Amino acid sequence: MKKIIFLCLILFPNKGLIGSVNNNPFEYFSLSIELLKNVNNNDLHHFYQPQNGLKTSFSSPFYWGKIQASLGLIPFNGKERNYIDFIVVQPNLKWIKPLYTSSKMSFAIGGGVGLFVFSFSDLDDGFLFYNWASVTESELSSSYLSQIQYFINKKMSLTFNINIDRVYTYKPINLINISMGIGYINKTPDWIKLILQ
Amino acid sequence: MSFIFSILLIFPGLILANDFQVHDDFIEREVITGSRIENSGLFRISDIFLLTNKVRVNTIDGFTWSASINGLPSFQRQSWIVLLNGHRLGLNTFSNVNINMLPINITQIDSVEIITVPQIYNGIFTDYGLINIHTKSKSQGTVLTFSQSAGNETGDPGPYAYTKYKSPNVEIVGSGTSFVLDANNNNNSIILGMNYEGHTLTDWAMEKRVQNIYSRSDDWIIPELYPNPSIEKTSIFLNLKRTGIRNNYNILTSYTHSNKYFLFFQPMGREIPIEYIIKYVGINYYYNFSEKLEIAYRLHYSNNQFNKYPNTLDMEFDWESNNVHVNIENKFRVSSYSGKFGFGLDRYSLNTDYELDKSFYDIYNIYFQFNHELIENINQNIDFMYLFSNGKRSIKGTSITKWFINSKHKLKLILSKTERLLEEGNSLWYWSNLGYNIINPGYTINGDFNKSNIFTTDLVLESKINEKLTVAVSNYYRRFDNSYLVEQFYNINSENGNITSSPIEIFTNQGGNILGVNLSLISNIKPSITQYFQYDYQNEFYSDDLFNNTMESFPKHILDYHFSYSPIEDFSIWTKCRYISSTQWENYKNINGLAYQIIHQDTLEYSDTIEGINMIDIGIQKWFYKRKIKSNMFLRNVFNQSIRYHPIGASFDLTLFLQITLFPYNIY
Repeated sequence: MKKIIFLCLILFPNKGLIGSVNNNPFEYFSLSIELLKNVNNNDLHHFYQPQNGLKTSFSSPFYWGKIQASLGLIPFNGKERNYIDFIVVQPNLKWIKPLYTSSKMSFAIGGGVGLFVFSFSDLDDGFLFYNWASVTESELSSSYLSQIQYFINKKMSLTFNINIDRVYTYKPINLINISMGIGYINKTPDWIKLILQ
Repeated sequence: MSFIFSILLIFPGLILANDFQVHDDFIEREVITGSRIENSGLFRISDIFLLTNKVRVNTIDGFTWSASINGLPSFQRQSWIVLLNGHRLGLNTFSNVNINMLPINITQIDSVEIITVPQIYNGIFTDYGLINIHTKSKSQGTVLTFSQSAGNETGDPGPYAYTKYKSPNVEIVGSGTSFVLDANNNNNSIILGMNYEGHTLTDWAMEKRVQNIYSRSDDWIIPELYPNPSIEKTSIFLNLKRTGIRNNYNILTSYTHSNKYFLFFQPMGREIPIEYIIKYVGINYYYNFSEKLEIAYRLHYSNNQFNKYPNTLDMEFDWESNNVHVNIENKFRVSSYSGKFGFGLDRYSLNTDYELDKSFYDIYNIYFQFNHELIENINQNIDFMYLFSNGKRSIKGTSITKWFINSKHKLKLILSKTERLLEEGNSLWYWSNLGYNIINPGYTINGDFNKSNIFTTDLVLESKINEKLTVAVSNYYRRFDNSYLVEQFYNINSENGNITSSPIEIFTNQGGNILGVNLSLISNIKPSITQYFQYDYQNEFYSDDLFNNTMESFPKHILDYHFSYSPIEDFSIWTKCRYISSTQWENYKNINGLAYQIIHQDTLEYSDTIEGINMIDIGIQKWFYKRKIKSNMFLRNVFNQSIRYHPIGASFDLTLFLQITLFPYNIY
């Protein structure tokens, strides 16, 4: 029941959501690259040790808030020989709602969906086109984001993110990742706007 | 008695008619519009059932769906009819109707008509309802469309695959690829379409029994690409249309081929892999002599084959069924009456090596429809059909009365009385009686296959409260007599998943009553916002035991809410919520508590009770590149509830679907 109420609050018509459509989406873009670290500890971490990862993201204003497409990579090493090492490749699409914005800082929250592609590295087969399914596992994930941006100037920013990811494997995996990096902001080229609009 | 009833239906119309109007829209239908289809996240054709709660459905594998339209259940046999642009493609085989075997793809559907009461539609009496799917068609120019879609169900093991928490893979739901060329020149139109669909059968509740009967030896292309049992369908269709001053016609030809199709064969209670082929060619032709006279003819031929696919049971259906459907109809206006008069022929034949007493049979029908204004603001339509086959006859009649109370409110009363012959369903039991001995070791019939009888009433109040709100309330009653029902109890060997069945007994004189109510609200609080709220309740009463047991497998309550918001033309967001109440399956009572999968400390068990379903879907649609690319992304079962429709069927967990449609060539 709590879930239904939560969904209703997000989705059902309300004046704030419906009344404030941005008529000039994709006006500018922000490209960032961040270092990524997994910081929580649960059942998965009994078997695997996460390493530092990397994340890159592309953000732009949307009809409401912002839209962000990102790609993350995090290696996980097995703690025993049977637990095969893997790299998580995480494409993700998020909607972000800025809650506070000034000339120097912004704070935003967001959520979205993506895929967790687990690419196992030590299988004897190796990766070939026809056997990709047997050396990788992929699963749907949802993610929630808190983001603080500090604007160094009009073109550059420092970014700090906290991500909570839930991967819908049979035994669900919850990961909390923090990331820090640098962002580049610019006007969106017309050819990109043409594609996106 | 039937004759008297039929005359009573017609008589008031003959003596009370005092004015004349043409009322072609006496068809009692629910229409699913194109805009609703666009904003609903549909992946397969069968997903249109998610947009109406007048159709109760269940499925075992997610690819073949059984449906019961508006309290007209054909019980254990599927006898509802599917048309594609008015063409009858012959999907009804072996008591199954798989709407996903149509030669089109969900992205090609423009709108769907669901005929929800027994009446005459295109020369067909819709005893158990009818679904007519209309495909998209441009009036001018040439459009090339390419579409690709895929769905991925959650529940894989992920990195736990190498730990004590390991579990089998669920794999993808499937994929779809389609290509359509729609070219128009003046009054001529040609649509050419090609489609591929794949659907994997790896759900744990059915995996063992499917794996055990499936031989992988001749997977096509590269076997490693298709390591799991899956249904693969390829199809092609060609639709030619011409609209002239006086005449117009619509020619459709199609070929649907499933190299590997898992047919759920009810008498054995399990899937059998087959090669499934459906061929079709047909024409619908209309000629206007004058405003008062139009002639239509429809000529349809379909061929339906179940060929052998390697399987461990060495089962071969050896079935090639042909249907020729001919209908000639005269639409007229005489004095104060308008209507239609027509006759038709259906020839069913079977090519098989089994020795049959007779390899074909014919069904003839003659019918008329009258509509007229009974008194001021009250219109009436009378349908009557006389049908005969093999020396037996049946009569079907419907009366539809509409009272336009005022500009906002409309009240409709629909009464129908239907007799139905065994021959009408092209049923497995009919051919078995003639020597098609596929059912081994046979079956017992208690009684004779007499005509079954259905009496229905529908009372519908439609109110357009204002420009933003439309409400419809309906109440329906159905009485079934002399229906034949099959009693069969299933067991499962939990080691290998194989299913065994008790001896099949057919009871031919079952009867019962169904009462239901339906509420529908459509709201457009803003042009960009559409909301649908629908509720349907139905229950049986005063029924024979077997009838009662069968009806227990139909949910009593269905509740739907659908919200879509399109702030601009190129973007929309939507959500659908659905509740379906629990069902009870008497014929699966012996499987209760049997385990089908053990994962670490979880034991997953079969049950003869299907718990109520709470399903919430959410999705977005976005156009790109000046409307040359359309993308859909949606999640089905957002909160990952346990959704199952059948005791031995798959569980449909949280699933992500993606659809991309390209319009690379679009010239007007």
